This record gives sequence, C-alpha cells and structure tokens, in this order.
Amino acid sequence: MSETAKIILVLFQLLTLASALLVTFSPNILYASISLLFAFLGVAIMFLYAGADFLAGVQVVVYIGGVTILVLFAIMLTSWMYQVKLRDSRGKLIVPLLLALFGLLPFLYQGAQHLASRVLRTVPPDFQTFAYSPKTNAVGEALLGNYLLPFEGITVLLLGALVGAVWLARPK
Amino acid sequence: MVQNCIWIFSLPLIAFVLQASLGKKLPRQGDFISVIALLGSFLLALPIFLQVVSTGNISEAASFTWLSLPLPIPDSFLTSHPGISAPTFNLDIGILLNNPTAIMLGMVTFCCFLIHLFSTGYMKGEDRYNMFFAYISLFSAAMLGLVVSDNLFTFFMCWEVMGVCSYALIGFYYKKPSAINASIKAFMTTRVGDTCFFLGLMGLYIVFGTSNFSEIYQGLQGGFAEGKTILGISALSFIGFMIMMGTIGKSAQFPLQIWLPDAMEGPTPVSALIHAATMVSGGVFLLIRMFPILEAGHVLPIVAYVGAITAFLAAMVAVVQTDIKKVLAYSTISQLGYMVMGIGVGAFAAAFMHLITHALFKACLFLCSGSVIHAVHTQDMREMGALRTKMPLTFLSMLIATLAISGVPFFSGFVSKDRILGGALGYGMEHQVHMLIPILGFAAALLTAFYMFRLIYMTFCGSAKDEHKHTHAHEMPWNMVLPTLLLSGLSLSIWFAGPTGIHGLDPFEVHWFDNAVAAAQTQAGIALHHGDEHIAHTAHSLALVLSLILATAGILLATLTYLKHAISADAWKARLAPLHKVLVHKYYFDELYINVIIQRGLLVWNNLLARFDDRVVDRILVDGWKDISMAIKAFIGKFDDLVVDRIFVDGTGYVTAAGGWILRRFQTGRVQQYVILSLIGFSVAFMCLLAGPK
Amino acid sequence: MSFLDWATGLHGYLFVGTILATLGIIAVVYRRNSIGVLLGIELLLNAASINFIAFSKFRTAAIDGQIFALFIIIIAAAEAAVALAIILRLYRLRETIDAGEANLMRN
Repeated sequence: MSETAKIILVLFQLLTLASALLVTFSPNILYASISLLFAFLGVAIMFLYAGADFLAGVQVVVYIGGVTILVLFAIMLTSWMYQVKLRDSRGKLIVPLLLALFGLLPFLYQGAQHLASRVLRTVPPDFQTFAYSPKTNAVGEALLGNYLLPFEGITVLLLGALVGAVWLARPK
Repeated sequence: MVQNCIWIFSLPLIAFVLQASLGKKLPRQGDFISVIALLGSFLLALPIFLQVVSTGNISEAASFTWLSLPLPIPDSFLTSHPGISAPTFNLDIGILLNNPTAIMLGMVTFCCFLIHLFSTGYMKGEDRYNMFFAYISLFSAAMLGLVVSDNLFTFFMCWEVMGVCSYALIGFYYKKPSAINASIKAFMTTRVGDTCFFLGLMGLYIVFGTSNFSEIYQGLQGGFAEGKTILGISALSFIGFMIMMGTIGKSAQFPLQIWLPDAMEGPTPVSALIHAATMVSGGVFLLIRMFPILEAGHVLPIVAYVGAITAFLAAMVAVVQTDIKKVLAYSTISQLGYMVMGIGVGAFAAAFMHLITHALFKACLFLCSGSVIHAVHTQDMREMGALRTKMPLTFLSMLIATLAISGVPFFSGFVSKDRILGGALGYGMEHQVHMLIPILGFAAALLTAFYMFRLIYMTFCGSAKDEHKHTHAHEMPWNMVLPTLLLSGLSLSIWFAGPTGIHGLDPFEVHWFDNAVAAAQTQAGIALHHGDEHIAHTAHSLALVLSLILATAGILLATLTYLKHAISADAWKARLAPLHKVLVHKYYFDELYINVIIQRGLLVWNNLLARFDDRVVDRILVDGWKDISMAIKAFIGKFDDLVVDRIFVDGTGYVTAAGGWILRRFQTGRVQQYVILSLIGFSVAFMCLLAGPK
Repeated sequence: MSFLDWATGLHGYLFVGTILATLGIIAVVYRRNSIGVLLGIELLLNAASINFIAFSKFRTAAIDGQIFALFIIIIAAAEAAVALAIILRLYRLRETIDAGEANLMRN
C-alpha cells in the first residue's frame, strides 16, 4: 500500500471519529443524524481498505441510502421542524459519561490493542492477496453455501421486521 | 396341565371382575360372560379328568415362593456359629394336580357350569341380576382354587372367600329380614369352625413348618411329629381335631349344622351350587386331603361318630319338614354326615365317591326343586301335588336323582352309600364298642328313602292341593331343563361301578374310580389296614342286603303313607307328638345356642368386656390421653403463635417486602438506566479480566 | 513502526472500533431523544462490523468475517426499521420521543 493511500485511509478514519463525536454530543438531533452519515461513509472506506469491497458497497447502500434517510424521516415526522425544538434536552446523566470514558474506554482500548498485538504475530501469509481480490463472487458463494441456513433465517427475520414495523406504525 | 389348572380357576375370577365392574351395562347384564367362563373351565378340566379315567393316574405339581421372611435369629448367635446361615420362613404356594384334584375338577366345573346355565333361566328378571352372576363366578373361582391348592394356606384362603360368597348369596334377597338373618347366621356359625381350622393350620406350621400337602405327607411318614405336643395333647391329635372342626363348620355337621337349613333363604341355584354340590363338599374334601393327619392323630372315631350322629339326626328332621328346600337341606346334611362317617371308619374311597355322586344328584334335586318353585311360586309341599303331568322332564330327572339318593340299585347313590355302609359295618364288627355307628347309618338309610319319596309323592303325585297354582304350572325352558337332565343322567351307577351297581352281578364293571383313588392313596401315603379280610367281605355282603331291604322298606312305607294313604300320617303325628315337636324345633339347637350359649355365656362375657372397655380403656386411657393432648396442644399452640407465626411466617413476609422495596428502586422503567447498570457490570467484568493473569 | 502503519494496520482498525463503541454507548445512555439512542446503537453495530472486517483480513484471510458483518448490517437495518416504527408509535401515544418518558412500567 502506498503512502498516499495510507494517508487517505487515516484521513477517513479521522473523519469517522470526528463524525461519531458529533453524533454523540451534538445537541441538535438533525445535525447528529447527518454527521452519522459521514461516519458511515468513513467506515465504508475502512471496509474498502480492509478488502471488503462488497461490504463497503452494502454499507453505503443500506446505511447511507437507507437507515440515515429513514432516521431523517423519523425526525421530521416526530419533531415538527419549526414548532418543536430539535435540540436534545440534555440529560443530567454525567455519571454514565464519566463511567464510559474512564471505566469502559481504557479497558476496552487496552484489551483491543493487546489482542491486535497477539493476532499480528500470526498473520496469514496471503492476507495481502486476499485483501486485493474481489469479494462479490466469494460472498455470493458463501451465502448460498455454508451460510445458507443463516441466510434463510435472516430473510425470515427481515420479513418479520417488515411486517412488525408496518403493524407498529399503522395509523390509528 | 398345570397351566390349564391356573386358567381353570382364573376364568371365573375374570368373569367375576367383569361382571362386578361392567356387567350392568352389557346386554343381558352380562350373564353370558360367567356361563362362557365356566364352560371354558369345564372344557379345560375335561382332558384332565379324562386322563384320570383312562390312565388312572395323574400327578403334577408346580409351586413358587410367595413370600420369604428371615426368622428373627440374633446376630450374635449367627456370628458365633459360622456354619449356620439364617433360616427363613418361606411361604410356597402352588398347584397340586393329582387324582382327587382331577376328579373334583371334573365334578365342580361340570356342576358349576350347569348351575350357571340354570341360573340364567331361574334368576331372569331379578334385581341385581349381574351381581348374582358375579358372586357365583367368584364362588366357583374360589372352589376351583381350593381344589387345586397344593397347600393348606391357600386352601384356607379360598375356603374363606367361599364363606364370603355364601354370605352374600344367602342374603341375596336383602330386603327379606329372614334372608339377612340367615346369611349372618351362616357366616357366624361357620366362623366357629373356621377359627378352629385356622388354629389347626397354625399347629401344622409349628409342627411341620409347612402347609404343603406333599410335604406334610412326607413329614408324617418320616415321623416328624413324634412326641410333639400342643397345649398338653399330642400335636397330631390337636391338628386333626381342629381340622375336623373346620369341616364340621363348613359341611354343617353336628353340632354346627344349624346354619344350612336357614341358608335355603338364598336363591335355589345358590342352594344347589353352594349348599349341596360344592362348598359343603369342600369340608369333606379337606378331610380327604388331611386324612393321613386324622389317621395319625387318632381322631377318626370322633369323625365317624360326628358323621353318624349328623346323618341320623338330620334325616329325622327331614321327615317332618314341609318346605321342599328344607327337606333337601336336611338331606344334604344327612348325606354329608355319611361322607364324614365314611372317612371316619376308613372307607376313604367310598366317602370320596359319595362326595362326587352326591354332588351330582343333589345338584339335580335342588335344580329340580328350583324348577318346581319357579313353576308354582311356593316352597310348601302341602300346596303342591300332581305336577307329574305338568312337568314331565323335571319329574323324570328328579325321580332319577331321588332313586339315586335313596340307594336303589342301578343308580349312583346306591354304589357309594352301600360302600360307606359296608365300611361302617365292617368297622363296627371289628370294634364292637363302635357298633352304634353302623346302626345310625342304616337307620338314616331307611329314613332317607322314606323322606325322599315322601317329597316326590307330595310334589308330583296325588291330587293338586291348590288348583290355581297347579293350572299355572308349566315346564321350564331348555336352559333350566337341560342341566337337570344332564345331572340326572350322571346319577346312574354305570358311570361309577357298573350297570346294576351290585358287585359281582354286573355284566361288566367300571373301575376307573377305584383305580384313581387307590393311586391317590399311594400318593398320599395312606396304607389302609383292612383288618380281617373275612370280616370285611362279610360286612359288605351283609350291608348290601341290609341297605336293599331298608331302601325298599323306606320306599314302601312312603308309598303306603303318602300315595295310597293306607297309613295316616296325621295319626302317627298325634301318636308321636313329643318327638314331632322336638323334630320340628330341630332338637332345640337354635334355642340352645341363642338362649343358653349366646345369652348366658357370650353376652355376659361381652358385657364384662364392654364394661372394662368403658371404665378402663375409655375413662382412663382414652380420656387421660385427652388431658395430655390438651396440655401439649396449649404448649404447641403458643409455640406456633410466637415462634412460627411471628418470626417465621411474618418475618418471611417482612424480608420479602423489604427486598421488594429495595429492588423496586432499580425498576425505574428508564431503559437508559438499565443500560447504565449493565455498563457498570461490563466495566467490572473487563477490569476483572484484565487484572487477572495474562 | 510508523504512525501510518499503526493506523492503517490492525491496531488502527481496532482503535477506531473502540472509540466508535464507546461513543455509541455514551450516546445510548446520554441522549434523551429516542432517535439519538438509535443513532448510538448504529454506531455500536458499526464498531462491531469494523472488528469483524479487520480480523477477517489480518487473522484469517477468509470470507467468513465479512459474511458476519453482512449479517450485522442486515439486522441493523431491520432493527432500525422496527425501532423507528416504535418511535413513531410512541410519539403518537405520548406526543414526545423522550426515552425517559416511556416509563409506563415504572415501579
């Protein structure tokens, strides 16, 4: 991987982190959801660099094209744009913030880094060729091969979620 | 064969269960179940019986251990005597199939089947029709179980089941007070004998440690009981006497004969089945099974006297009875007395043969009387008469059976009775002091012929006393006539000895019974010493002549009195008024038992016990217990209130409420708060993971 | 190892995942707005996907991790649809989408 490519990846990682910060702390829920869109985009680029080209496409299509739009619709349906305040009424929950920052994050970080170091000792030799090969074929074969049963299960789940969502959001 | 035996008595038992549980819902109230079950038993018993007839010998046995109890031997004894293992008390039960069993099986299943068949007609339309069949099926099962038992213990159990069935069936018309009284009387009277029988059974266990017939015979031959005593008398005498008491109770012998005439309160098929053909024969069968004990215990003379006295006294009473069933009841007692007498004088084979022949012809007589009663709706012979033309088939079979019981040649009763009388006469000639036994026996023979023909003449001949009843009488349907005809057909002597029944005159002779009984005697280890062959021969010839003369005389006398009216019965009644009074009151036995023994003896004792019960047991033990209980109750109540209620019960409630109050603080309904709590949990878990060893 | 190598390698991926997960959890517990909570959940799921993808490259060099990530995306989409339907329902019933107001089961 060239230096330029690496720099581009790091930039997108930074974009992801910055957007995520906004998602979490932006008082305006509209801004938060729009910045979530950029976080998804950054993650999609990270997928691309990790050799998951098909996944990156799915990420863009489903999250950016679907979920985010859905969220925006929900915001517009629930908070009347000019009538109800879009600002999030900030909670008084300073405790969870501190807990997450100082109770969870250090350990999570330490654990993740430790795990990464251990895994890197046994990197498979062909991981570069794997990363640069196209994945659409492989994903399709895996879904209709080893993962056929979970795949079918997922379809049923989706159907159930669809029906459930329609039923829940039905008019009175 | 042995497996067949199990089925023979299981089939009626199954029929009983089916009848009692769902008989009411079945068509015809399920009477066919019982009839078919008994037919099955008969068909299963037939090959066994025929094997005895053809080969003359059958001997099979099968048994299993029912229960096994270790005897209480102290451990110290066992440890100090290492060679000895702890003895156990084993109760083996099983089936003994030998010649007497086979012959009895043939007779009992045959009679039971025919009587079941007869009952379908006789009991038609009666209340509790299905229960009647349930009872007689259970009764048949018990009788068959008794016959095939290989030990006295199951024998006794079946014996008691029969007693219960008898009780239920005598009191079958439970709305009649007399029937209820009769059933209680029968049950309580036989109880006296059964208690003695049970004591005898216990004695057997003490002496032999078993109740298995074969083992008892072996033990006797091995001199096992030599020198042993119970209550100061010889053990064998004790056991023999007690077993004889069982027979006296069950077979209605003197002095416990009082229940059988009253038992005629039951339906007539019951009288035929229980009180003529089978149950009362069970008592004699017991004597046959236990003959070696009786012989070794020297109780045979007592048995002989009991039988002879019973035979004579019952025959006397039968003469004055006017109820057709009572006459037959007394004749049954009298004939059972013959059998017991035969056993007592050592005429083992003759007594057994009389058991079989009597069962057949007495069943026939009872069934015929049942037909007559069914036809004219009365039991009083004075209201009958001239039924010969109305019921020809019934008359024919009853006449044959009457000839048989009267001891007329060509009929079965003659063969067996003649042998018993011959044996008795031989015994009397050998032991001159016991001459009373044959005298009573011959007197009873005369009376038997007399009262039986009196019955026939009063019932079937002469003129109709009650026109209305006479015109309505009619022959019975096939299912009531067929059994009587079959039974009367088997009352011919050709089946047992030969066409005439007179030894030496027959063109050909039938020996199967003698062969079978001889083999049975060998099996049981009975060596009958016949004493002087010459005396025995003379006695038999003499007895033959005497019994022929007496039977003829009895019949003649009855003919003159009741058919020709040449002798006035009423005149003789007036002439012998005191005797007549005694006979009508059955020798005042009932009065003796009720007024003297029960009122003066048992009732006083009973009152004494009741007073003891009241004063000591109730006042001191029971009421005293009450005071103790009250004190304990007060204490426990207080304990319950203070400790259990306040601390445990209420305390549990408080603790639970407090726990709920605490837990409710967490149950805020805010999802995010739950997430925070789980976040804390996660954090702690991570800390633990990372702080642990790498 | 230079910073670029570190950031583009497994460590960098896991670092981004960790931060995203923490921020997601904070959003879930910190936001009063139900839609904000939903955004936090999406962040959490993305963090998980990143981990799967990263390990699929650096640990196994096989397709399975990507399949799992795919499943996560699908389930996230389904979950988002249902969650938004619930939020709409809640809004209709209570005229608010404050997560703290949905407390009928309280106590």
